[in-house]
Amino acid sequence: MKLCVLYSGGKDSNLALLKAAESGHEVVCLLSLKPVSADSEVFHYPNVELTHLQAKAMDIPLISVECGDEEEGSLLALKDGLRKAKDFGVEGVVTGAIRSTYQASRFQRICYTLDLWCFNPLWLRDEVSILREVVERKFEVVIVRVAGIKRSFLGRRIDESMIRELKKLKGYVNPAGEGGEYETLVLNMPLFRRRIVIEDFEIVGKEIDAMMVVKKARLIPK
Amino acid sequence: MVAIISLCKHRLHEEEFVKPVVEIARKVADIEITRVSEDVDNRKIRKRHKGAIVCGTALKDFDYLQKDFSWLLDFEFVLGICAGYQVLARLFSANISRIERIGVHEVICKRENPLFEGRFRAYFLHELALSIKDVLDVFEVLAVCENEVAAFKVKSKEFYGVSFHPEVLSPEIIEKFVELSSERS
Repeated sequence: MKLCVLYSGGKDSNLALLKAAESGHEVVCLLSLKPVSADSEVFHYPNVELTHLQAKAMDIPLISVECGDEEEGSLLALKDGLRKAKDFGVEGVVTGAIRSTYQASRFQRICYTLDLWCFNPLWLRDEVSILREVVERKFEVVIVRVAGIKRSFLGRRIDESMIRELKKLKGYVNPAGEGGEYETLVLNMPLFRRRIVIEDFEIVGKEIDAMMVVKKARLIPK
Repeated sequence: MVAIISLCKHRLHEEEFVKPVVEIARKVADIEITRVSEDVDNRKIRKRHKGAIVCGTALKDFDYLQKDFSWLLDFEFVLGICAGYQVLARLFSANISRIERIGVHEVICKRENPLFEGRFRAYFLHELALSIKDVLDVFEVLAVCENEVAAFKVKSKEFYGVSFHPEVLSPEIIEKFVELSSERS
């Protein structure tokens, strides 16, 4: 089946993409939503421009759609993007949704309306097991946004020691970051033919609500 | 041991509809996973297991409606989840209606049973279910969600169907079913 992956550039959408590709389906395009400001409730947004570089690293076409802050605008943009994906012959959509019934039911409803199959291969996964799988499968992942956790986590790679630190915070933070406590950027994973290097960045924001804005990045051979 | 039965046409969907059920059931008992889409020897499964959980599948997946599930009748305990609920309902000649329900809704328990009680919120993902006006005498209605039979029991057997996905918000239903089938086996 030809699939489109709802792609934020973070670890969850990349792991979902890898699982879809490995299951024998053909990922023919990625769909990325670009919120016009940083307050979107539904989608993950830091450094969304870098999804173009990630798509290039995988040689998979990217559909990028701008969306408004409010829920209705975001969902209309998602629908619009999925209609464009259908031009690629897409029959199904893959998301990296883990536990949010709010997100999942909205995606399911849109797919149902557009007569698309909906795949959520990380659904109900234990958050720490996702972090472990990402590390075991040699993803290079950095934290690019924090909200409610330490600003010093920005730019840190997800590795075993980072997982241990995130597990310690588990009482009040979802270790996989799905609740928006932190956001990630994937610089390399098995489907990347080239990897991303960050050459310049800036940290913006307050102590517990901050973001690493990548100002310059490029692809290099793996 | 409990058999976990997958109705999924696409293996990628098992990550979403089967694996979470397996993770919950595994905490209570040994389990074995069987794919209905493969040519399985159902007699062997029945010999090894007294209980079975028939998992749900994707909204657009209806391949299971073409298959014969009469072999399920030999189990002592069955829990059908969503598509599995439809399989059980059809096995007892129920008329399934087109009732689309996606998202979190309130379920109201109507009859005492070993799996749940009271009112609770559950995650639904289906476009077919039993309507409360079409329930045959062979079923006991255990719970409702608006016009829909959210849970039933087959009167003559320990067969339960839930139209929602308990693995999402109500994992204790799966745990209790596995305990129930283990205690009485």
